[in-house]
Order: sequence, then C-alpha cells, then structure tokens
Amino acid sequence: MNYEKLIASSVSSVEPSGIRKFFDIANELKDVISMSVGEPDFVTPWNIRQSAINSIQMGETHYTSNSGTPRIRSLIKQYLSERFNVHYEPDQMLVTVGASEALDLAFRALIDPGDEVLIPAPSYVSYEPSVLFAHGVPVPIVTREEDDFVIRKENIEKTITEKTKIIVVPYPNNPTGAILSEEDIIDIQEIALKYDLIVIADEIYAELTYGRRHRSVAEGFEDRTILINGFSKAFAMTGWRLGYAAGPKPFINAMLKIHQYTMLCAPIMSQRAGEEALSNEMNKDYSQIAEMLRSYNKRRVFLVDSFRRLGYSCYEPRGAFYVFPNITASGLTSEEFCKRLLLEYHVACVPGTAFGKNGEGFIRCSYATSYENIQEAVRRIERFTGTLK
Amino acid sequence: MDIRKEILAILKDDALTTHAMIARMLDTDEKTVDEEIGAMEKEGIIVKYEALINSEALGDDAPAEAMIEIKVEPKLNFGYEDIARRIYEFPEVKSLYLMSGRYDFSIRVEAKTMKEISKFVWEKLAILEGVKSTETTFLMRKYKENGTVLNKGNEQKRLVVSP
Repeated sequence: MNYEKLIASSVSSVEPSGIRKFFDIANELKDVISMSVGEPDFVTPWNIRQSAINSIQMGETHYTSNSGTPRIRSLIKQYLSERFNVHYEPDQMLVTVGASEALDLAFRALIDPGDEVLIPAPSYVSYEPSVLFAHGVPVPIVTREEDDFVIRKENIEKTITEKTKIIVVPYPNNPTGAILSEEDIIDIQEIALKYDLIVIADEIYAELTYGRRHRSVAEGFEDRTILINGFSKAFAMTGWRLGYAAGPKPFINAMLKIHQYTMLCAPIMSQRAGEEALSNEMNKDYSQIAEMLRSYNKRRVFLVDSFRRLGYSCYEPRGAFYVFPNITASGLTSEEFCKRLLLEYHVACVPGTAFGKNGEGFIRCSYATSYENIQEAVRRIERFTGTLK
Repeated sequence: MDIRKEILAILKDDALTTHAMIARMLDTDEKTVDEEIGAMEKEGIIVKYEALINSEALGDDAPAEAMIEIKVEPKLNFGYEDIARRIYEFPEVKSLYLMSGRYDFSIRVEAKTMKEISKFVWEKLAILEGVKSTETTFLMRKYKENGTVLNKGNEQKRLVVSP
C-alpha cells in the first residue's frame, strides 16, 4: 500500500520542523552546550508544583468545565488587567493545552480555505504549518535587522490583499527577541482597522522583557484581538501544557466548539498549578518573575556583547530569551555555521532559516541555560570564529 | 526602577559582576553604578564581598560547626549590647543574632573539630558572666546557604533542542 499517497496533502506538503534536524545530531554528541532550547532552564517554582501535588492528593482527577475552571479564568482576568491593562471577562476566555492549542483553535475557528494570514518573518516555527493545516494561506511580512525586526506599516500594507483576514502579532518575538513600541502598536491597530483584520497576538513571552515593560497589542483593542498567552515561559511550566486564549465572545465560542469536541479540557492538575502560579505572583508583586528576569538579563547582555566583540553585528533583543546575531561576517550560511559549530565545537544553535527564508544570515541562540554554559559556549564560538578569518 | 535595589540583587547573586556589566543590565552608565555602589559601601549597606564556600567539598579540611542557643541576663543600662559583644569577640563565633522566643542569642560557631567546639562552650562561653544556659546543636549537613542550594545534582532533564 502506498501510505504516503494516502496522507492528506495539507499535511504531507508541510516540511518537518527545521529545528528537529539538529536535535538528532546534538543528541548523539557528548559535552554539547545547547543554546537551541526554547524553554526555561528553571524548574517550575516549588509552590506551583506543590499545589498540583495537593490537587492530586485531594482526588481532583476529573474533567473541568470545557472553558477551564472558573477560578483560573477569574485570575487570568485580574492578571491581564493589572499587568497589561487588557480587559477580557472570564466568559471571553478559554483555557487550553498550551498556547499552541489556543493558536491552532484560533486558526481553525477563523480560516476558510484560501483566507490569507499575515505572519511576520522570521517567526516561531508553528504559525505557518498551523495555518496550512487549517487550509489557509500563510503570507510572510518580512522584518529586518535594521527595522529592529518589527513589522513596519509599509511592509504590512504591501502584503495585504482582499483575501487577507488575520494578522499574527507575535511579540516579544521568537527567534529575534524583538518587542513592540507604543508607536508600532498604534500602527498595527490602525492597519487592522483600515483593512478589517483580526489580530492574533501571541504574547507567550510577555513577562520576559528587559528594561521595558511589555505593551500588548490587545490594549484598547480587545474587540479585534485574540490574545494568546500561557504559563510555559513566565512560570517555567512548559511540560504542564497550559495556555489560554482571550478574545471577542463569538470567536472564543467558536474555538470552544472545536476544543470541546477534541480536547475537552486542559488537565485539572495543570489548571490548579496555574491558579497557584497567578495568585502567588500577584500577591508577591511578581517577585519570583523579577528574579528569573534578572538572571536572564545578565546572560542576554553577556551574549550580545560577546557576539559584537567577535565582530558580528547583533541586534539588542529586549524580550524573550533569544539572541539573534547576524553571522554573515563569518562567510558561512546559517545552516553551515550551525552545523560546523555543532559538529566541531559542540555548541548547538538554530539556523535562522528554521524560522523563515529571510532568517538566512542569522542564528538563534537561546540563553535559557546557565551563565557558566553560556560563557563556555562563547569561548568555543570565539575559537570557531578564529578559524574562519 | 529602584536602582539601588536592583544593584544589590545583582551583587547578592554574584558579587564579581563588573560595574560595566551591571550598567549594561540596568540600561545606565558605569559612572552611575560606580557612584551608587561607592555610596552604599560608605553608608555600610554593602559591608563586604565574600565567597560562598561549600565546606563539605573540602573533605577532611571542612571545619566543624554548631548552632548554640544562649539564655542570658541582660544588664541594667547596657541591655544586651555588653553581653553580645563579649560573646561575638571570640573568633570562633561566626554569627550572632538576638532572637525572640525561649532563648536570647543564637550563635553559629566554627572550629577545627567538634571536640574544640565543646571545649569552647565549657571553657569560654558557659562561664561568661551573664550567660544563664547554653544548648549546643552540631551542624550535620548544609543543604542550602544564603538562598543557594549546595551539592546540587547537575543532571540535564531537558531536550537538547526545542522550538
């Protein structure tokens, strides 16, 4: 039987993630310093883990309401409003299995075949495939180093057609670490109004900004925005698979319809842990997050300064936990650079091309690893760079 | 941003962080950091910079340590100050705190051996004028010091590569 032929073309036409290619090589080598990890190196704070253990001990092993527990939704409402001045009611929210599910639901709920979705490039690897799985047409909006990797008004407008329906706004950005300024946000909101676009704001890195507070594109724009966030990055909870979407009620209801027939609900123990994460941080004035940020910030500064010292141009990221240096000075392509760095010096980074064609010339280095590891990685990159000149 | 609070948090985590690095982290210039740290040193907010040592890793060279609870009789006009001074002047005494509760002082004592600590208690501490009683508990193992977990297992549980 020709199995391949039987697989739906919307699936078979999508390439597997470029990041995974490196996973297999890196896994085989010893003493690899990995700067290709997209999750915090911190373990979930103990109070959060303890609350999940308590929940299990109490016998909370059942389904919750499809939308999520009333408590977590009311905490999310309070959190979004006091932290980001974004206002959604609990009945405009849906708790999901990771922000990834929320994203998938948003695309599936809104896209009709052929609808165009604008996606900044380079960006997180999932947007384009998720749009394709939903039979939409992903359209990249090119962002450039000299524009601070922000989508500029004129570049957005160039990509708009009568089929454009959605614009994805993923800031703080993976892989560039770019964030939006107030002016950028106003520009995006104006364009969304002018061309009647729905904004899908993936703000999973909202808590991880340095020297600037995160501004949400949903602020004052709630009625046009589906805001997606989760617990993975802010609370070091990647493995718990807990995220949420907040948006206009009709959109959330449509997403809920898919969610209730496919996922039913997010795991109850994860939701209980999420309740603890939010209520504890709100009571303690976000001090646990602040401590995590300090640690990330030092690594960020060290990495940026190191790449510049080695002769690479390096945009100063203000968000997430990635540095996205321009490695064209090496004379290598992104893929060659990463492959040789991994095979010869055992440092794993991800080529910028894994995040879109215009990621060529860049590599993504995650600083979600210890300062000592980063210092050693820089020493190795320095030796590697020395052989190239 | 309270710049002093931020500087202190950075130094508490790693006192070797350079002023230039602190300036970069806080989006300010090195001169400001120099000045703030200099002022905090002068004001006695920053007392000194010391290394956190995991004595267990020293093996046989590790000193013996004990916590001692002390009940004292504070003196008229001098309160606790006088007796506190006469205790902390001993070099064996590494820290001394006045506590609320059923005793007055809690001290941490360090010496080469447990025997030496015992001798210190009966020869020097217990006989001090004003000391009513002592209760010595020997420290067996340190798990966490000043917010830092010692002897941490270093296993990497994450995937090497993830999106």
